Amino acid sequence: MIEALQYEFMRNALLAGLLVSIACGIIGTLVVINRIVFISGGIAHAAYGGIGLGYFLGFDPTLGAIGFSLLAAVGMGAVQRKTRERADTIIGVMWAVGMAIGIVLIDLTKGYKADLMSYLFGSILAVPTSYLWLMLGVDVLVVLVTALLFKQFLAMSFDETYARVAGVPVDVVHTILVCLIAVTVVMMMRVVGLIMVIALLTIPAAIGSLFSRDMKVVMLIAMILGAIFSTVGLWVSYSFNLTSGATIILVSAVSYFVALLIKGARQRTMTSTTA
Amino acid sequence: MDANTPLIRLNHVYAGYDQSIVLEDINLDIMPLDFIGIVGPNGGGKSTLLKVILGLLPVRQGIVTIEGKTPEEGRNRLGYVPQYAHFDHQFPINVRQVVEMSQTGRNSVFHRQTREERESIERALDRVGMLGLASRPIGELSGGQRQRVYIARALAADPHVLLLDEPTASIDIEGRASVYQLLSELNEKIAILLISHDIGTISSFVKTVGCMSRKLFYHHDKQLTPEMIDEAYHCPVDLIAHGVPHRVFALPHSEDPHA
Repeated sequence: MIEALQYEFMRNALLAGLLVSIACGIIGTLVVINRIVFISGGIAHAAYGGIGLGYFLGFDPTLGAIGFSLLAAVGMGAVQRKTRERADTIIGVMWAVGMAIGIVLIDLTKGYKADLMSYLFGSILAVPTSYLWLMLGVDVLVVLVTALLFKQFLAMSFDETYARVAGVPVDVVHTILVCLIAVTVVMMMRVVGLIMVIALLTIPAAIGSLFSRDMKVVMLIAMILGAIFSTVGLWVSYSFNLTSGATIILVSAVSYFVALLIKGARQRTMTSTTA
Repeated sequence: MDANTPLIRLNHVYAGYDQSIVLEDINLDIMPLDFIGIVGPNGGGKSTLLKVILGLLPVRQGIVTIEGKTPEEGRNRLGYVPQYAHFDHQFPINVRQVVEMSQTGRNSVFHRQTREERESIERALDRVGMLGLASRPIGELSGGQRQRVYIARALAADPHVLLLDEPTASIDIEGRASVYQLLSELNEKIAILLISHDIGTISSFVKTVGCMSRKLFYHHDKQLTPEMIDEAYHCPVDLIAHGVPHRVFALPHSEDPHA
């Protein structure tokens, strides 16, 4: 791994993993405690429509992905909050429609479709330096907004109705949250791919919330775990010549499983000592 | 504050969801130092009544006012204690942070907590006997302790009326008595409206009882006879069986707060 760092693509890959884990740890925690994993998956998949649009009209697919994921975020957020029934069905349909638009637009695009697969399955080894700046920008945005809105996010997540009665502008705060999810998802797309984004977004935060009851600490644990998972996953994929995105996800998932076992064992010892 | 002016007034209020009317011609005045318990069957509109007062559900007809203002403008005078039927014990928040939610809505995102604000949080926690557990995660508390924290959160906003939704639903028997004892003490200064299906317990603590089943049967009456309490106990059953409105009231103590 060390000797691999002499290559720029390897240094960029490592850096991309670290940059992603910052936004991912913060937003993943908010996704997990708000129980909006499903919407976040929908936002990620719908972003594919924007990638297709980028190919079709000949502009940067990443910009298309940002546009589509923001649109999907606002749309799905509104459906979740305003529809009294079947919100999950409508969101599921929007999820698939976004992907379908992307696939059809790519069908309609003539010529060679370079690195199309990297958007779906990630290609952390092919992250250009310019993309690292975009990642840094997303990190700064996510950290700043979360620092400013920490109490509003916490209040809304704990009890939306009470927060509304207490004067928190819940609709605005919720819209800001889903838009942050959208940009975070696009940023992660290069690392693990749109299809697997949801696992890297939620697993570190899910582990964090097993071991702390303090939202700041959960976010911190999730950031550190995200960095570890992407680095270890990258190393394993480099050593065994495996797809990096999928390897990172499997490393995360195995860790989550182990964390659940540890937590379960701990609880059993606690109940047996008190009994 | 004038003792003869209602804090909350509902005047011929109708409300509901989609095609169904849940509240029908509700009239209710909540006066200073009232302690009103509203009982009734599930689906009888008790929760909807709270939503309408809190401005969370618009009325179809009629008027709701809080100290003369609309619910949206006036609800900062209310201390709302919600019911948490599906509580997430893993949620990462501590007791102090829960109570601080009462202040989050009125401050800008650039606001830093002032000393006065911190003291008012601590006063509220102290008032309900929870100051010692301020840094505990809320999920580690018992049902009764959590209820005290939610009451502290309501108190921290200096409310004129406390609104409680099934305050003893997830509490054991001893916890219930101590929560009601606390509410009785708070009632020396603050009016209280609580809704519950637990008729047995509330009628011995509240000053007046109303009964809700689409319509509200409440007469702010001052008399108390054992028959009336008995009637209150059977009220929801009778309402379902016959749909006949009848008078329900109970005053456990002989002194009248409004005399």
